[in-house]
Amino acid sequence: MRHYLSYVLLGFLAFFLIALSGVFAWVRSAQLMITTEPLVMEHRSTSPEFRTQGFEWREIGPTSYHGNCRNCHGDDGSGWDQYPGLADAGRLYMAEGGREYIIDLHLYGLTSDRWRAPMPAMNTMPDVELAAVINHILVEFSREDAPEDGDLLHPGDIKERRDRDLSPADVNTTRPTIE
Amino acid sequence: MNRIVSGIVWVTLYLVIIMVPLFLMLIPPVPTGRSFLLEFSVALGFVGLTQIAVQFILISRFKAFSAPYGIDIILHFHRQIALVAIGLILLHPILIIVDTPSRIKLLNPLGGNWASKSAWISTFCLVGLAVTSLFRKELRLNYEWWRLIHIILGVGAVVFAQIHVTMAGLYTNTLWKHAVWAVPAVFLVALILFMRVLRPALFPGNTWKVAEVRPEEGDCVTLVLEPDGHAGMSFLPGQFAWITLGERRFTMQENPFSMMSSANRPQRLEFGIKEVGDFTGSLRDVAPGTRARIDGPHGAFSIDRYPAVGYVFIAGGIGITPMLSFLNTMADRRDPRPIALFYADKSLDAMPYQEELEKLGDQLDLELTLVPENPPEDWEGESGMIDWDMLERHVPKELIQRELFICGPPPMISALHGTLKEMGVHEEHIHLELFDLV
Repeated sequence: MRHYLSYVLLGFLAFFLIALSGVFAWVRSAQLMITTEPLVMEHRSTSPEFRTQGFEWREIGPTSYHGNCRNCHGDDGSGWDQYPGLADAGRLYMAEGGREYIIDLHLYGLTSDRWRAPMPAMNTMPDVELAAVINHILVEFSREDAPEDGDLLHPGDIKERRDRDLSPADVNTTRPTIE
Repeated sequence: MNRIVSGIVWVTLYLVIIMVPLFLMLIPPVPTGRSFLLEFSVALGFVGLTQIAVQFILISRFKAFSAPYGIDIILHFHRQIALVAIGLILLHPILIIVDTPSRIKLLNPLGGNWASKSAWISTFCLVGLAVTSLFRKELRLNYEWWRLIHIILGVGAVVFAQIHVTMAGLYTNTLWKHAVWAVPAVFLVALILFMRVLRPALFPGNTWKVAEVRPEEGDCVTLVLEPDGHAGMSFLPGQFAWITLGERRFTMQENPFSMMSSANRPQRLEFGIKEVGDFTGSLRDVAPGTRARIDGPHGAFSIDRYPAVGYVFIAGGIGITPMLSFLNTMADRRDPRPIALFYADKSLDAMPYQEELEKLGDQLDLELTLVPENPPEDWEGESGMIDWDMLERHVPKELIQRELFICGPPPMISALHGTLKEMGVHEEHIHLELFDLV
C-alpha cells in the first residue's frame, strides 16, 4: 500500500514540477516581467514623438547591462575567463561595416574560434532596450574610438536589422578587421 | 481520510519548497526574458537542483518526519524522485543546445568556461549516483563502499551545481539572490556531514554489547545485542535499525538489519543476518563483548500498525527475520489470532530458523508452509514458486479479511504483489518490505 501511494505521489509531483517550470518559462518568454525599470516600459514606445525628442538611452542602458550582460562581460566590461572584454567595442563599431556587425551579433548571436563561449542571441530584447544597452557599452567601455552622440544607435536602427536569416557563424564572417 | 489530507499537505509543501527559490528569481531586477525553450530549460535546471538539495533532508533520518510513513518508504521515494530530478537536470543543457545550437561548444569538457566545467562535474556526480545505485549489484559494489561513494557524489553534485549557478546564472544578479541558492546549499551539505559523520562520533547515544554470535543454517548468523547500562530500545515488531560494530568513532560501516526478536524484550535484541557483503561476511568472527551502536528503530512494516483478525506472512530467504519478530512478539503476548506463514528459499538446507518456527508453532495458531524451490526427493510438502493456488490451499477463504505481509528479494515481492492484485486483494491489505534499501 505504502509503495503504491509513493508512486502516485511521484507522478503528481513530476507533473506539477514540469508544469510549474513551464509557467515560469511562459511568464518570462511572454515578457510579463521585463525589468524593474518602469522606464523601459515607457520607452518601449517607438512613436514619432519619442524619436524626435531624442533617445534617453542613459536611463535604460546601465540597468539593462546589469541584468543581461554583466554576468559574462563583467561589471566594468573587462570580461573574464572565456568571455571577452568590451574595450574594442568602439573601434569595431567605427570600422567599416562595424555598425551592422555590432547590431547583428546582439540579434543573431556570435560564435568564433577566438572565444570558447558563444554569444547568445539577445533578440527577445525590445529595440529600445537593445539600442540603449549597446550605446551604454560603446560610450562607457570603449578604450578608444568611443562614438560621439551623433553616431550612436536609435531604436529604429535595431528594427531595420531584424528578421534576417543569419547564424552566429555568419555574423562572425562580417566582423571588421581591426589591428 | 487522514492519510489523504496529509498526502496533499506533503505534496503541496514539497512543491512550495522546490518552487519558491525559482519564483523568487522573478523579483526585480531581472534580466530581459528570453525564448520559452531557454527559460524552460533554466527553470528545469533550478528545479532539479533544489530537489537534489532536498534529498539531504529526506535521508537525514529525522524520526518526527519519517515515523508516520516508515523510513524505508522515504528512502524508496528518495530514489524515485531523485531520478526525476536527474532527468530534469539532463534536459537543462539539451534544451539550451536545441534553442541555441552554437552553445554546443560549451559542452566540450576541456573547453567551455568554468561555469560549464562545474556543470559537467555536477552532472558526472549525478549520473554516477544513479548508476551506482541502480546497478550496485552488477557493479559488485558492497553496501559500505556504495554508501561512502553516495555521500561523496551527492555532496559533489550539489557543490558544483551551486558553483555553476553562481557563475553562470543571469538570475542571480543581486547578493540576496546569490544567497537564496548558496545558503541552503551550504546548510544542507553541513547538515548531512553532521548527521552522518560528526553526530555519530560526538553523540554516540546508548551503547550496546554483543552478547552472542550464533551461526545458523544457510550462511546466516544471529547477532544478539544487549544494552550497556540502559533500558534498551522499545520497537514495534518488524522494525529495523542501522547497526555499527566496533570502537571506531568515525566509520561508514553502518548496516540496516531487521530485529527478529520479540518487541516485548527491549533488552535483548536479536538480528538474523545473511552473510553476503564484506561486513556481514566477517560477522562470525565478532567476539562477544564488542561494542555496538544502534540507530533505530525505523520502518513501518509492522503488524501493530495494521490490526486484523488474522495475518498472512510470506517470506523469501532472510526476509524471514521480520516475520520471526511478529511471531515471537505474538507468542509473548499469547496472541490467539490465526497466522499463515509461507517461507520460501532455494532449498531446505538454505532456510535458517526452521527449528525456532516449529517451536513457535506450538505456542501460536500458526500454519507453517515451507516452500523450497528445489525440494529433496522425499519431500511431500509444497515446492517451487509461491502462487495463488498455493495460497488458497493453506489459507481459509476469508483471505480478504487478513492483512498480508511480504518480505523477500525484489523479484519475488513484485511477482507476488502482481498476483495478489490480479486476484482482487485490495492494495490496502498488502504490506511490502523491500529488503534491499539500495
